[in-house]
Amino acid sequence: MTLVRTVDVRVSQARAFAVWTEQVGMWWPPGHSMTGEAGARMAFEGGVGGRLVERAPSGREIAWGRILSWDPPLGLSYAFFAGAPPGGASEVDVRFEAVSETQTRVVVTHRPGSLAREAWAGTVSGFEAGWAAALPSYSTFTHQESS
Amino acid sequence: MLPNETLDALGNPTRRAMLELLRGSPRSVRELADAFPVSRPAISRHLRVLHDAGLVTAEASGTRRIYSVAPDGFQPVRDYCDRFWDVALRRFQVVAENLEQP
Repeated sequence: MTLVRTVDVRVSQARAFAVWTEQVGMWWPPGHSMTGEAGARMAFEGGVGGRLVERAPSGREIAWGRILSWDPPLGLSYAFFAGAPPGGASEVDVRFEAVSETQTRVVVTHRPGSLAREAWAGTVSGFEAGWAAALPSYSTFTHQESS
Repeated sequence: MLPNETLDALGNPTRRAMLELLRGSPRSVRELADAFPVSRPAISRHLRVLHDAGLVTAEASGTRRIYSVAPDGFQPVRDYCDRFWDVALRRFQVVAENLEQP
């Protein structure tokens, strides 16, 4: 179930990478929250091993992903837990292709990640705990949104 | 968003491990029970949850029922990802093109 999406943006490659990573809190779709808390924000912790993390005003943090590769401004990839197939995480790969100085094509490939699974093999128990903690609020939220 | 049934079904480590195993090859309840340190009734209950969520299918083979991963079982997950990226990429584009450069 590999999914490939592209979007062209009228900014430089470096800027596109910076917005994707540093401003994720601004473009993350509203309502996609695991904490379910109003005012929760997403953030990338830059570099391999860093998290894609939701930080809630209460101080609660839930990891949505773990960075597997980090190559600014060319791209990054991360293990992604939301909607993951069984066994761990799917994998999101984001490439920023410079079309010109002021235009960038962003290619997102979202696939069930064997690489992600291996990366997580050593920390499965932490991941399971994350799922367990995340699911109740996530389900509550899903229910609210669909009603 | 993902239907609650799918989330609930996937939100259990034993059920996720069962799906992993079934992805390798179809198995009977007994074969599944042999692979996990839980009772057969517990395995049956997990199978029922997975079946109700549309993640596994059952086929009769003599007196046994053979379970396998449902080919379309992950469609809700796929749909969720589709919708997520539709919205996320549109928003990313708007933010990237309109946010003041620092």
